[in-house]
Amino acid sequence: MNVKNMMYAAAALVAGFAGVASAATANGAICDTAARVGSTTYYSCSGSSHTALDMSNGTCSEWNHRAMLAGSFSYRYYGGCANNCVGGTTCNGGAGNYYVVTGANGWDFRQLHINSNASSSTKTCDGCALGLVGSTGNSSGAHVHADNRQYGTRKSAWYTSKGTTCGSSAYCGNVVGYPSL
Amino acid sequence: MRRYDFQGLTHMTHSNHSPLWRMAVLAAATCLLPATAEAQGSAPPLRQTTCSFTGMVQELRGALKTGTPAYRKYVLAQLKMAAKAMPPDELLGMVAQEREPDVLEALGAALASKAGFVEDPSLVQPLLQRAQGDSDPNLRAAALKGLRATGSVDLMSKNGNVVTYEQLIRDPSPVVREAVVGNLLEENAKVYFGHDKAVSETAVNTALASSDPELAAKLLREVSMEQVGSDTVGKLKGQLRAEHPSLRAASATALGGVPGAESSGASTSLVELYRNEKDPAVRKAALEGLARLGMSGARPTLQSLRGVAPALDPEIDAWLAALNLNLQEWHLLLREKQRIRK
Repeated sequence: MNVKNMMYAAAALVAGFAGVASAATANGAICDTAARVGSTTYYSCSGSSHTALDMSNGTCSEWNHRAMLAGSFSYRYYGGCANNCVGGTTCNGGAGNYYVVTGANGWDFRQLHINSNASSSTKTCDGCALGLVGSTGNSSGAHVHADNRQYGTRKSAWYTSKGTTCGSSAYCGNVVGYPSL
Repeated sequence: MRRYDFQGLTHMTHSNHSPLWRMAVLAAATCLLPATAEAQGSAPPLRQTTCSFTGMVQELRGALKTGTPAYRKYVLAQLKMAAKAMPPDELLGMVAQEREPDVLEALGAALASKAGFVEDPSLVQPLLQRAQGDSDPNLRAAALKGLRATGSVDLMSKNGNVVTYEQLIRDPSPVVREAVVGNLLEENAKVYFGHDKAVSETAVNTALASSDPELAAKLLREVSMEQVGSDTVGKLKGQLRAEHPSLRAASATALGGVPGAESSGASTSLVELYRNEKDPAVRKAALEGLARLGMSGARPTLQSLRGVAPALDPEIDAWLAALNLNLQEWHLLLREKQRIRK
């Protein structure tokens, strides 16, 4: 963006709420140092197209699936799927129990396949527990799926810009990407 | 066996028997030592020191006074990280007693972050009490700023609305009133991206409770109205008759962003405002509101207003030219219009 456009953008903000997208910081979703990224742009980094991060520590319904965005954000919950550790269902269109943070200009950030518990509800929080790492919906084994979309299309820049790839740490103290919101 | 993680689902690991929070403080505080040495330039040898939360706060105090912006940011991030993992008692005590505004704001931010992490709204009560009752206005403002960019409206509600922004905007000190407006603007933009009804309606109610028309106008102008209900739209229409022109202009801008179901009534009110208003800035705001409400469908309405205020006909033409581009997002349309005519 050149200086002239920046000035126009700044003027637009002053003129009223215009909802211009900005970058957030996303940490890993599991507070276990053993948690790793298993898929990025392709399943297992060599299969078919995926364009999202899958994170797992090899357990199911044991560890909290945590809100990934650093700072306070509004997580909207979509539940109703029975907990399981196998997956392979079409519940909620394959997303299973999931959360969405809705940003500006069609951007959103989603966390999918949650096994629900008492923590699972719409909330505004900072790194809180959203449920348990599970496999609800179209999932093959318990993991956290996280994606960053604009108008429903998944984007990869948020994790590629950080260099996150298969084998990267998915620990909750480790930054895995910078999603647009 | 359910392991969850170090914070646990039900605060069970807040027990003082757990060494994990001490590890977090230790890790955070240890990281501070080399940064301090580097900041002095002469790189003195590292020395052994006792790690404690009190020590972290001392480090914070020094960083806020003399540290670089990057170092201050780093120390604040470390404090928040440690606060999430440790029991709240020590932090609560410090928030209740701190007398330096910058430090109180940082401690408050750490406490609010922890409240969001463990989902315990009651943790922010000391902050709310200080924001309302401290004798020093700078400390009242600092306590409020500690809640910035959090779900503070929700937190206040979950604490029984004993302290509200509608009350705090009546504070005799301008620094506190400005902190109120800053909190609401940041929460609307950065936490909810303009999508939260409660924050938008709180902002409108806070603006109406304000005796400072400029601050009220800032709230109405800059907070998203996309989720507000009919009652709030009615309040905005009422402000089109406000005595202060900037308040009338801000209300016109706000009405431009109301939900689709309210757009017809809002449009009628803005046309009426444009026809009867004398202040050019208010009229410009009415045109902007009309363009936003109707987007490309606003062309006939805007054309019908030509000649009402001939000096503003170029403004109408600028909107029509921008609308002809068929841009689908408001921020793009607004930018194009401002490129054509400020």
